[in-house]
Amino acid sequence: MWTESKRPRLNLAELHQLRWLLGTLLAALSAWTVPGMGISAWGWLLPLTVAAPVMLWRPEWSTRLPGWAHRMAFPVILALAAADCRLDPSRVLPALVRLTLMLLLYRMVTARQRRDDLQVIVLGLFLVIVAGVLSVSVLFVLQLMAFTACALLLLLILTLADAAGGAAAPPPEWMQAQWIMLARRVRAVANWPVVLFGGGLFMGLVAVSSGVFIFLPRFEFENSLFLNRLVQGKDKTGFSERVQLGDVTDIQSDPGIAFTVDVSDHLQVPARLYWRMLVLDQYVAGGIFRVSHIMDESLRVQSQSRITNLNGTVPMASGAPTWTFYFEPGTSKYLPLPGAFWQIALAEPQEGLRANMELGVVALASPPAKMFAYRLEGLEFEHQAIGELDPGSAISLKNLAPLEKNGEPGNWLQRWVVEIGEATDAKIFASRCSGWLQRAHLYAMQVDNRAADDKPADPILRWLAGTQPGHCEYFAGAFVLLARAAGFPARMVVGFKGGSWNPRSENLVVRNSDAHAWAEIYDATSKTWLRVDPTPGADLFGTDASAMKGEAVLTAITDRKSGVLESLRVIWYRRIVNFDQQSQQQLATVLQQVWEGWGRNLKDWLRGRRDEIRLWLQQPWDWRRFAGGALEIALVLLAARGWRTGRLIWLAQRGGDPVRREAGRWLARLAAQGGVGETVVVRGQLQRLRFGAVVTWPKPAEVFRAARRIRRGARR
Amino acid sequence: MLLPPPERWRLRPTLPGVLLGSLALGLGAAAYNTANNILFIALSVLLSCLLLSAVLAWMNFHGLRWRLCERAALRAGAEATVTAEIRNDKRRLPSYGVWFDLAAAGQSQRAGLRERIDPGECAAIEWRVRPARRGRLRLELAAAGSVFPFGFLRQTVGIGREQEVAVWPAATAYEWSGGAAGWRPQAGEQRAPHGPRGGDLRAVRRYVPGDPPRVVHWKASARARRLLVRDFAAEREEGLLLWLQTSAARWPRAEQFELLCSLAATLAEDLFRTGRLRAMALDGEPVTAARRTEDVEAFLNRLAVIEPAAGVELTEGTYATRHGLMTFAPDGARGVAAYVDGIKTAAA
Repeated sequence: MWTESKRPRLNLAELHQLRWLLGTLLAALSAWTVPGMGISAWGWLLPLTVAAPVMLWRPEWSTRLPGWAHRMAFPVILALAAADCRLDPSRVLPALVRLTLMLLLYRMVTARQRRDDLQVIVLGLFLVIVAGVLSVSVLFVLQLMAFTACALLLLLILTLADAAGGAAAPPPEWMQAQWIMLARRVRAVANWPVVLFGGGLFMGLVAVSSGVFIFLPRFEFENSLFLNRLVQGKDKTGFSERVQLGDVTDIQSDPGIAFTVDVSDHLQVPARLYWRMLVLDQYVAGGIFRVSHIMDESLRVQSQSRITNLNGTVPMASGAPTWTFYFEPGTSKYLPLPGAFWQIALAEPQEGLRANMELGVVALASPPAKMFAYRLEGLEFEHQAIGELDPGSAISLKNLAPLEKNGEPGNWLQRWVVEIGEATDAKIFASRCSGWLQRAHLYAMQVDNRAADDKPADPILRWLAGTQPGHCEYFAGAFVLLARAAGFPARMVVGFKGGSWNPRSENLVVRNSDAHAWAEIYDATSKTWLRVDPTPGADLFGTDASAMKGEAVLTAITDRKSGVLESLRVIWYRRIVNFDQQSQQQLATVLQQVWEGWGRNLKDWLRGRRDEIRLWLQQPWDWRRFAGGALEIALVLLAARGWRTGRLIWLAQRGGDPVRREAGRWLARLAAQGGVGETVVVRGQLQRLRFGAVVTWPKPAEVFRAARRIRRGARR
Repeated sequence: MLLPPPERWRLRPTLPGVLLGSLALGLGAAAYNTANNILFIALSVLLSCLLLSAVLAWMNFHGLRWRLCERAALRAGAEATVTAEIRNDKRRLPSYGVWFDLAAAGQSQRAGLRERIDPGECAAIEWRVRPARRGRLRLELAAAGSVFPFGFLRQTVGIGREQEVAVWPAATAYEWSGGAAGWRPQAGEQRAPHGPRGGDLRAVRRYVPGDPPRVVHWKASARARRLLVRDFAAEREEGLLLWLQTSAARWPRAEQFELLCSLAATLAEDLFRTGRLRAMALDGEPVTAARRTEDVEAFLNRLAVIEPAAGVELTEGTYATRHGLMTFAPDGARGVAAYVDGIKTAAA
């Protein structure tokens, strides 16, 4: 084969060097998605990371592996993977990921043929997808794009290398790679129009992928397999059934995002937001509150992804807020609920989901290992208590006995209750008790609550006996114990309080630093549980701030420092991760509306122009109007002529004779016209214009006119 | 509206393409089963890659023009090169990795572009062909194909561009055993020797294409400022008339007839090359003068397709009055002998 090209080309050795470079990069890139999965695989990841630069530095070392090592490699890898599975049969996916890393490492350190490169691509794709599914991170898109670009480039190089002569026999010369020289060669060889075209194509690929993603039909099978079940969640911090003094404060020290919320109507965001997650009804000596067995057992297993609060107080009213939550992994297995609601809809069916809608608690089987989305429909914030209405069946009341009524702790509590003053109404008691607490203690994150001989052994009682400052857990815990001592059923509630408004992505952001503990007291008069927040600075019943509504609330909580990445993450959750059939229908509706709007506007515009012309024509005519009209027509004709001439000049500058090009176009158009009569003659004239000498040309305009006439006749 | 691909145009997945398709199918099943948008994204990217692959494959072929270069003839048993010329008529984009299939004598050979063809440039692809026997050989540029760009899809375009070429009889070894011709090779010498030309110089004439270079009269050419060649008397008077009789009665054995064709073709070329061939004749057809190479090639083209004639055998009396008549006759059961004026001159 020969070509007459003058531009330099990459030779086969250079193509193989590029192939090696891309294959190694691809393996390293896909391997580094593993840390995001929360799977322990450093034992393979680190060697792989070290091997990548080493094998790029010395590609020829890949041929030095002895034959027996090659023969033993796969049995050994399979044996290791089997042992991995055997060690913990419940964790299949981590073993599978480690097996993939082993294979990638093997492929990285040995000479690769075409099929080995294909294997690297498939293994890498597996890792990238698994990482995306497990992490649901916005990074997934970047990883996938980088992977796709590298993989497509590698496949292209493989195709070109195959065409240029196929694989070189080991030990090939190309392994003496000098990357700087190669980079220079690639730069010299690069055909910039093609490179730009390739870049454009890649952007097109991204655009088409987005389009395919949006328009792929969605069906809701409500039947989840999923990879998450194959991997156990990481050991997460966060709220659990057992909260010890200081646990909430620990969570507060983390500035990370706990969850973000998309609100249906930002004017309906209340001024005071309490995100209720967990109700702790049992106090264990030593400053530990926990969920009692009775309450835990009251959470019933749910098999649906949509749970309607049939016994709730909140009917689904039109215009009622609907909030979508994007719950970050590791926060808790209990879902934050900002108020009473009519229905909760989960993005994915959850195995082991438990809920007690009377109690107002929804719990997953375990803390989610990835972002978890759910939607609350028909929210109602005015109700202070979410809990059960019927005290007779109130599960919480059965387990709310005061702490060792007759012992030393009981004596301390009774003494303080007397100090607070007797009250028969829960609200009055709550108010007096909070005041009493806040008078004795200030708020502080750090608490010095060391044991002393003259003070009770229980940390909360000891704190009550002194005047040290305390944090929300001390205030809420002390309130619960004092209320119970006074004869009022009370319990501790943990969750989050407040949050900020991200003006970029227009959503609520609740951080771990917003973690909070408060109390609930049972009001026998109204037969409801009242929220009581005795922590200094808090609104006791959450009512005094209700005057602030709408935009004022958002202005007050707007966080101007919200980063772009945070906004991007919310958009990722909102537009990509949470994109479902409903979103697709909404998008289709929006597109239809936009299209109809355009059509309407165009119709209106045309109608307006028509009316203007009609009006203009109906006006009395004089010589000025005649002249003006003639001038306008002349200008239009001149512009048309100028456009035609300019186009011909432009065509001539592009290369080739415009007449010949036009004749070629007409020949193509008349190709299907048959061969009779005038068509034959005109086609002959067109061929003369297209191929013949200029001196033999007929008049081009006449020929084109005749061709146009034939074409019109054929259409009729 | 979706249009079917044009006839003879095929887009088929390769093994990696099948794997990718299976992967996309699996991903799609998982995505629909779980309604997981991460999987939908991966599925979208895979499908887009397939789409991009198909678009690039189409663009790779778009604007490519090809033709099978004309070839005069081939020779049986001898390897020859068949060339196709490929031109990239695209304005900006090169084409890569295109192969072409050449079908000849029921066999298909594939040859491909090892390098890219830049816009507006040409490349040639060559095949080595060795026809087994004389006759007419149909060379067909059967198909063009490529797995560009990613190797997922094999795009093939049926071309069906045919060219029929003559396959001259195979060259054969023969033994020159002397004879009446002016040219006298040593006894036992094989193939045509390039001995001195016989005869006196009769005149100097203008060069005619096909004249051997050695007869160019350089001094006279320099003086006359045009190419002149020496015209030997022996050329006109002593050159040989090669007369081939193809009567089936004379050549009942097919292999002997093939040998006759080979010997006649070889002698015709050798004699012409040494300036000893005056004319050629086939059975009762008019005599063709051997002035130019084209004359000999036309004779060889006839030999390529000639078959034993079933008609009445012509006697040597047809051209008996001619001097230097070379005829052929069976030499034993398998061999063929050439006679000049009735004297055995060569045998194969």
